[in-house]
Amino acid sequence: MHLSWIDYAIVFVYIGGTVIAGTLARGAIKGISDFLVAGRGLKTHMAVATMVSTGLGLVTVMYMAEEGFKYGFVPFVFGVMALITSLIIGRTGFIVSRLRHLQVMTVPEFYELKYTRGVRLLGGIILTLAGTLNMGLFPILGSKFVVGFTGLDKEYVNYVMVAMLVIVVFYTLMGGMVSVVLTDFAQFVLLAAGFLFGTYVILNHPQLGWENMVQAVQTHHGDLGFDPIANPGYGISMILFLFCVGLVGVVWQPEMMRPLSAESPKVARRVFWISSATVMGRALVPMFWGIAALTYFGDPSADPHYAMPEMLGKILPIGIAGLLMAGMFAAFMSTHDSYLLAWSGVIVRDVISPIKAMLAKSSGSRAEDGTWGGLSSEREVYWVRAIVVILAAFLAIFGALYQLPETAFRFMYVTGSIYFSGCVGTIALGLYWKKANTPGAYCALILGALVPINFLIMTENQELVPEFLLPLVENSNLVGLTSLIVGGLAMLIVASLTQKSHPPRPLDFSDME
Amino acid sequence: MDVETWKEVWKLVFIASSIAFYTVVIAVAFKGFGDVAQMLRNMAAGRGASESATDSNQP
Repeated sequence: MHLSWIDYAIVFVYIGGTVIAGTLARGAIKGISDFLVAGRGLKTHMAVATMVSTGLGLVTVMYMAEEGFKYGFVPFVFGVMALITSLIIGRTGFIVSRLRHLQVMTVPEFYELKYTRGVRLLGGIILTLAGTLNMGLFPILGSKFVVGFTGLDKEYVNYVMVAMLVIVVFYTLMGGMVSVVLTDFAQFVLLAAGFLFGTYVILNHPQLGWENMVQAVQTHHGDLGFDPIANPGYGISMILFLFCVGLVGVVWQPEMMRPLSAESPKVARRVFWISSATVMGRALVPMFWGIAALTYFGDPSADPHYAMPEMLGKILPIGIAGLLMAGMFAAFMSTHDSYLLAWSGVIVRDVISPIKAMLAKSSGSRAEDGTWGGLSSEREVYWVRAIVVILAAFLAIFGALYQLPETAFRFMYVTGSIYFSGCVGTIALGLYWKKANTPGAYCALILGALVPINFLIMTENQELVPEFLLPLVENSNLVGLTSLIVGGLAMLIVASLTQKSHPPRPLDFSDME
Repeated sequence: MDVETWKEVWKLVFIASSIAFYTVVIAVAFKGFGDVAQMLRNMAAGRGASESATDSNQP
């Protein structure tokens, strides 16, 4: 064991406080809009804190560190692209302001406003599939960090994963988005402190420091550890993909829940503008830690999921180690609570509730409480809570059994692409192109999702893949980029051809702030 | 760009991103504390999140 009782005490005090705050929030839940979007009352700074916390999960730390360990300084380009896209969104309010203006709680809800209930149902199913697959590795990677950092035997990794999930599920069930926001604020401060101290110790460690790390990358990766254009794992296709996905990535439900919870479209835009200053740091600091692990152990063949936390567990002094551990627990919780809530909300509001509304043949209009003629507000809260528990159980099983293709980072991007690809056509064009219509939306969602799903299937069955398709199996950058283009083109072509038979529904943004 | 230039670029990017990150964290933590305290007070008074949001949005 690397840690002392003082470190563990810090961690347990933090976890206890989080659970108490989450439990107290139960009193603030009166309906589905309280539970999913905190009554749309988030002010700018709280919204920024909770958005940064969600974007900086323990799994993010783990897969960013893995990229640094495997590719050296090259992945820093990810942070640069994230900064550029966040600035664009923050300045223009691209997608964010318009969706907030329409007062939707989930992204597929927009499909019913702009297209039909059927498109919403399909979008909800695809988002559920993509979201749960994407989240599949979160718990196991978080658990690997804890095991590596504390020096526990690796055979305990599944038990630690289940224990951490139970804590998160408990307080998320109690207060929904209100719990998430309250705990995220504490987590935001704590994990930033963990980042600061961890980086400081690495920079001043005799074996590490900037110059030693540059030397280690040069030794193990050569020039390809610095040049993102020349590195075959990155290159222009990856950079382009990062830019495109950065722009449409805003429609990722857990990310979008913050702007949708903001008190106005103006606040929603401002949240992105302020948090854009953090996106590079959120990516680069964990990557820097991954490079430090490579430097510390000097073995590129080591498992990066364990190398980075093991290094931190060994080099951090008593007290700082506890603070960092609490910060990483915070990172684990802040992402899991948001994601569990986001995907459960989508499953209930965009899959179960529309099916019930279709069976009841109810009209396709939104009621005062935000429901659409399917489940009542109270039943939606009940079902969201039930789905949170079911999802957590699924994640525990998936994390324990699934074997990764390429790296965790690539897995996240390919599974994310299953949804993003359809978003270009259905959401971006739906909000900004007057001709976007229902047939175009169906085609964009289906064709866009097929490309990355094919990749996942082909990766598992490479021996059956024809030779001309092998580049799509070997290079996940191409998959992501292709699926985005296919989704956008599907809407443009199909909607243009079906304007007379399916006239598009107009949306009014004339009074938007 | 040659490798030595890339090394300098990444060093500058890392320093700039760290400064920006911690500056925003400090500012947001300081300014957001009041919002959190208000939220806790509303919860203690047994008021729903929507009710509190409606009140705070009124001029």
